[in-house]
Amino acid sequence: MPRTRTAKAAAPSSPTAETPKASSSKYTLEATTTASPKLFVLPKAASKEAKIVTLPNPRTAKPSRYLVCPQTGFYEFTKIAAPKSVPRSWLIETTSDSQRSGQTISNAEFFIASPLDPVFLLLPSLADSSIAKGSDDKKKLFLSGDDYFDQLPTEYSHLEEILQWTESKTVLEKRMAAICDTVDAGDETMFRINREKLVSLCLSKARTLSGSLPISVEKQFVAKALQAPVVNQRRAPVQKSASTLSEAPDSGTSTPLTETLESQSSAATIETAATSVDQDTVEVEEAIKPTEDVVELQRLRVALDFICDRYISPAVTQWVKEGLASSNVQFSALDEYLAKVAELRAEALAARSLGDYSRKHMRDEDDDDAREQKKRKMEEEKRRKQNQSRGVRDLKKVNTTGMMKLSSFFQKK
Amino acid sequence: MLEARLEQADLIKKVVDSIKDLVQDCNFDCNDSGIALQAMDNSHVALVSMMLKAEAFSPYRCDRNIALGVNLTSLTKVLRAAQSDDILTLKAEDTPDVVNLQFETSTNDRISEYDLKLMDIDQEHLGIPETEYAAAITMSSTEFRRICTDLAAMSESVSIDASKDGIKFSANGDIGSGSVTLRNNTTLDDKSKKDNVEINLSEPVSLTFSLKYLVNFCKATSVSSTVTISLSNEVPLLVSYDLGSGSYLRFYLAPKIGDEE
Repeated sequence: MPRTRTAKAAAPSSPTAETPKASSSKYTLEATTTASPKLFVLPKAASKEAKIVTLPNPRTAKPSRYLVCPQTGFYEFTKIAAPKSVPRSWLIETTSDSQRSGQTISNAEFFIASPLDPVFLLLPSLADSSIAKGSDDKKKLFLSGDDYFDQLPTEYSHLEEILQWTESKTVLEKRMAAICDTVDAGDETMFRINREKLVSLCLSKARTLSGSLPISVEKQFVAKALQAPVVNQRRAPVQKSASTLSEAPDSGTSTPLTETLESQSSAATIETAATSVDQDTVEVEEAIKPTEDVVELQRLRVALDFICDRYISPAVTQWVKEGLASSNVQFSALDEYLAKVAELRAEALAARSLGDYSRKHMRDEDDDDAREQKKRKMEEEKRRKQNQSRGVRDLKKVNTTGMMKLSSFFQKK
Repeated sequence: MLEARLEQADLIKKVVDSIKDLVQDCNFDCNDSGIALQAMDNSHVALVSMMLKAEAFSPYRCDRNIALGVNLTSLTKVLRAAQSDDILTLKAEDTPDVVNLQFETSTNDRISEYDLKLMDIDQEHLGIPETEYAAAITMSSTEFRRICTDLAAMSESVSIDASKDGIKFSANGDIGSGSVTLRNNTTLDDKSKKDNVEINLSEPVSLTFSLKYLVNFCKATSVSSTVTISLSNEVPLLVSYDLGSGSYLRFYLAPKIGDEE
């Protein structure tokens, strides 16, 4: 296929959007497909039987698409898209020699399937009753895997079909065992969720993740969060707290159900964030510097927050965080450091607001008011003065020291 | 409803003229006994008290107590439109917004009428007790003015010493010092009666006063040919001008204490 502009525009199999315009061309067009094709990058490990299914999202319980392979397990989709401001399209060519055909896809996005621990998919039903009961989770009954599967929302869910594959059920139950206490009851295994196990699972995942955080995330959420305000520079960069983590990556890496779900690729979002970070991280003297342990803890926390924000529902997250307190990982050193940083920032901000001329505009309105009032007062004063005789004015200059007020001689009526 | 007719506009012109240099705004309190005024200067060290008895007017009618709050400078401006011998009539409603001033020439061929806007003035009234002063000097008002202006050239303050020898005004200033002593002088001779100095002394008094204020009081010289100065230790000085028929214009001034400059 010739790679010129004209040839591309006249491409015979150009899809949806171009149909009405192209009808006037001399080529007859095939009927457009109802949905524009999508590009997927699928794992090599996935077998031929792998299917795209709908399952409830573990965090939001909304139906989402997943790739399920009977042998290798579950995969989630991550949408990678160019930012809206940069319009792009896919031009796809088939490589077979016999007939060369091409296609354009107006949306320059594609989906990457990446392995997902199915334990997260099951967590809502596993953790559900424990959270409802609160602290006395010991009393919770052991239930069979099937009971837990039944508790998951069934609407729009293909779970039932998945469970008919014998392998997948084994995979799921094996993963369940990782965070549950188990009891063998005859030929069936019964499960009960164990918070310590769940926490340690999350932590181990977080630890793996923290070792390989993308540079942009590292800068935005680790370096920046730990950065103390500079002492020698007046303009301390505006800091973002680590809690904003939940928004940014969430929008970036969602598993889309429909194509209307619009999001930018996580890469693109964070790339732009990263460039803006670069400008601020000049080599300046900081009030305090984090120790290596603190940095490591912050990385772990960021990774854990990411996992929780992505795969665990808010209620369960809360429950996990409570369990974290009794785990072997202690964040107290980090907390202490962050408290100190927050204090320094507050100080820096207070100092800055005094000397920052760029804030002058904000005060202008107040100034106007004050000036107007002053003016009015002065005018009033002037009018008063005009109605003042010279004698009265002269008396104002008289030295009255040693003279008591008349009210001290005469009683008020 | 107030209606007060004054045969000679002169009186009120002079009174207002002499007060306007001491206070800016004040209330004229009108009741059935007459029109009264009490006001302090800005520093609250001097007080002016005026009483125009109903008898001074012909006729005088005031059914209710009415307070006419005026700016004295403004009132002066209006009064300037009146000739000295014009007949002046003051009129006001019971709850007035304006006070009406009417000037008639004595020949009744010209009538001018002015409405002066009133203002609300919060003023505290001081109760001034009738005091038996240790010393009271009645003398020519022009003589008193002369003493005050002469000594004001020397110093800011004057000390007045009343003793059996007479009354001594002395001033001690940067350029030097000066004093004026007056002795009791009462003649019944009509020609020189205006130069009479009458001193009533029950005990010696020595006080110091601000000359600027005294000179200011002397603006009232024209309202009366005589003035009475009353002193007692540690009470305000009283400078009183008699307006006849029980009416008066009085000034009070706090003495300077513990400050012999």
